[in-house]
Amino acid sequence: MFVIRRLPTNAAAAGGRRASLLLLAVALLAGCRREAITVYRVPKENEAPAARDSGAEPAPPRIQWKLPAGWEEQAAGEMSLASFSIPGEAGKKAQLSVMTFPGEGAGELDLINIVRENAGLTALTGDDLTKLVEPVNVGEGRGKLVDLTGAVNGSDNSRSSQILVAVYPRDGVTWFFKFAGDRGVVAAQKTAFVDFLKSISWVERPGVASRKPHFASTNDKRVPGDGAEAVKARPSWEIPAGWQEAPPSQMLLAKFVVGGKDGQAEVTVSAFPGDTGGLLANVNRWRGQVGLGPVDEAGMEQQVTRLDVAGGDAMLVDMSGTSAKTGKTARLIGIIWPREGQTWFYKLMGDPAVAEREKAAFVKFVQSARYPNA
Amino acid sequence: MLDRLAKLLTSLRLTVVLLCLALLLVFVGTLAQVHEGLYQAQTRYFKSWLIWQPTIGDSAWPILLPGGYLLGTLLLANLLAAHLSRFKFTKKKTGIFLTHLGVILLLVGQLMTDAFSTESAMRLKEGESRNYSQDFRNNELVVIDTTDPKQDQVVAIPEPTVATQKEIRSESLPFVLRVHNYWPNATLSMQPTNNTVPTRATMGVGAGIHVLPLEPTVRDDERNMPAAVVEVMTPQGSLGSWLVSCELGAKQAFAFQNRAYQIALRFKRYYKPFSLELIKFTHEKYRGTDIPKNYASRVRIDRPDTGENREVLIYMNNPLRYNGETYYQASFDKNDPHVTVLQVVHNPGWLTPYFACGLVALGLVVQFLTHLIGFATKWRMA
Repeated sequence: MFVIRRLPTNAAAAGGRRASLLLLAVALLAGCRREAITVYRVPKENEAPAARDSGAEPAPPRIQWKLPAGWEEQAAGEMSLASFSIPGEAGKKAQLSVMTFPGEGAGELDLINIVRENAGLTALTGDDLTKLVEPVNVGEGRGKLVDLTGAVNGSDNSRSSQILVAVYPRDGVTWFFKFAGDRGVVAAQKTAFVDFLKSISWVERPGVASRKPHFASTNDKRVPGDGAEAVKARPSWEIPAGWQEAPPSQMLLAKFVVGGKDGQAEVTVSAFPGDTGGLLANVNRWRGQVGLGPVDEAGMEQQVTRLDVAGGDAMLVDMSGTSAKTGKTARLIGIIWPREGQTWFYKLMGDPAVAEREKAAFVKFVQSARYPNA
Repeated sequence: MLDRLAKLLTSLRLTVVLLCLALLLVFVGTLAQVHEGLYQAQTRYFKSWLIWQPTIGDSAWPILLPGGYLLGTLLLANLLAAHLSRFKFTKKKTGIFLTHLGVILLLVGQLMTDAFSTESAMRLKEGESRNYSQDFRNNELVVIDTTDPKQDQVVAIPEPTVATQKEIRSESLPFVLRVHNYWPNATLSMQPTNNTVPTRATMGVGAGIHVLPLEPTVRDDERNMPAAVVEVMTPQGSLGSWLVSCELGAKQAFAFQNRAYQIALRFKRYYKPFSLELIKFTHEKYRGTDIPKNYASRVRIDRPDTGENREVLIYMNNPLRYNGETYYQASFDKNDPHVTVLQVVHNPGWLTPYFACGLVALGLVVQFLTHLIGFATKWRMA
């Protein structure tokens, strides 16, 4: 675009050059600008949306309660909003956990059946549940109280213990109160539990919203949002051939169905914070599921074998018996993997022939687990 | 010395060198987006003066490259200097003059856009009304004096200041903010896990919370969530330390000298003298697919100082231009069909590229016609 020409040497040209040097200096200085602190006045804002504005998830609502005498509040786990220890006579005790699940009442039966299954009890049908339900006051509302161990004693595991569950749907959330422990303690404290439920009040207190590690991803175009990005962190596995993934029920992270002419088996994966009562309790829980009586520490040692997994050891148990759920012979191969403050449970359970055939694939599957953010 | 420098500044050689370097920069900067992401590459290569260790191929090379600002400024200075020193305006050169003026305007306009434009988002739920938008990238530490029952006084401290200064003072604050920790991207956890650090916050919701520092993200669809531990130091001593984080849901309150304050780290806000209320959001998809057919937001503008109160429909390719800003229908919430996301662009120089290109085109036409007419006249005379 320029036409090359001899430089004129007049004063105007020199002035022009100086002016352009000055412009360059100004531009350079302008480029080094720094954002300053600003002060401004704004009308009072409505506080309600403030919690959402930060881009985090809406904080879960909190509750307040009147603590019955003798109860001790404990640190809440990752799954529970509050947790209490209730001591009884001779060192016996019970535990109350307060949990929330999204949705109102939809998965009520599922939730109750998971608790029952964990206690070695058979699953309930909707009709069974209706018979067990008694109304209870939760705060100013009406919830359902279910004595889970009232129906059938499925195994030895449940004889000494009792589980009361209160379910209360509120504002799109199902509140779940699990009161479990020694039968004597639970029975003696049932009135206190009912009083506790009645004393609950809800406070819309903004607090820490998102607890799951995530990479602060918001939706399209990085819009500050209500981001539902905190999905339950699920590991990645190498899924053996022939395993069919099935939709997991609540509290399960994954479920696979393995089957053939020789029968069927299920592989389930779940994770819970803490040590969930320790190895012995969990082995005995599983023993209950195949109709076996509990063992002591020494008996457990004989049953458990160590398994090498990424970043540590896991415990493998292998047991056969009669499924408390179906009444058929069953084999349960379970792996308990404590990892970063959580305990992961991998379980292969079903017809003995299928379990035998799939055992190697199951162990390999567990060993292939790669956890997010590991 | 000054004359030699000025001579260099007016030389055509410099123009050629600068244009070659600009070519190289565009090439390197474009490829760098693969590894560094769009935003980071734009900032590091084009919105910078110098680039140390540019990414070429898969590795960082230990060389220094001139950045977009440096090249643009030098090109502008070069063009202006050349013009001022050797251009003599005659009627015959009107076209060249107009063309160059257009190029200068384009360069200045882009500099202005860069310096003064902002892009932010306004997220509205049906029935919700809002008088601010939030920045896509930038964050701010705010200390809000909430004593006045009608108005809040906000002291907004940009995130870079929090990141670099140990002590933050403002005439509007009767105390000093001491920054103990700053994490450019972090998430919060109630329980200690691998790599979490306990915060030393003594007050507010942060006490007992653990921070998991994360690598700053450069991805275009993610944003950093910074966190910091800030101590409020008064002349009478410390009031305590607070954990502030963009991930925390709430502002945290404290009092000093009978005044109520709130502290928070949040997405940078741009307040408006009016509010927008979302009346209805419609999101149509092609039947049987998830492909969006049309999104539209019916909003109400409410401006108390002028009494303006009217409804506007914003939909794809039909933004609302209001108060020097443009509101585009940008996105929606995948989980909530009643939420719209408007992109708010404030660009005082948005007309300059149109004007500049018009000038360049006009200049070229004038130049061509001048030559054509001159030639035709000569031909006729011959």
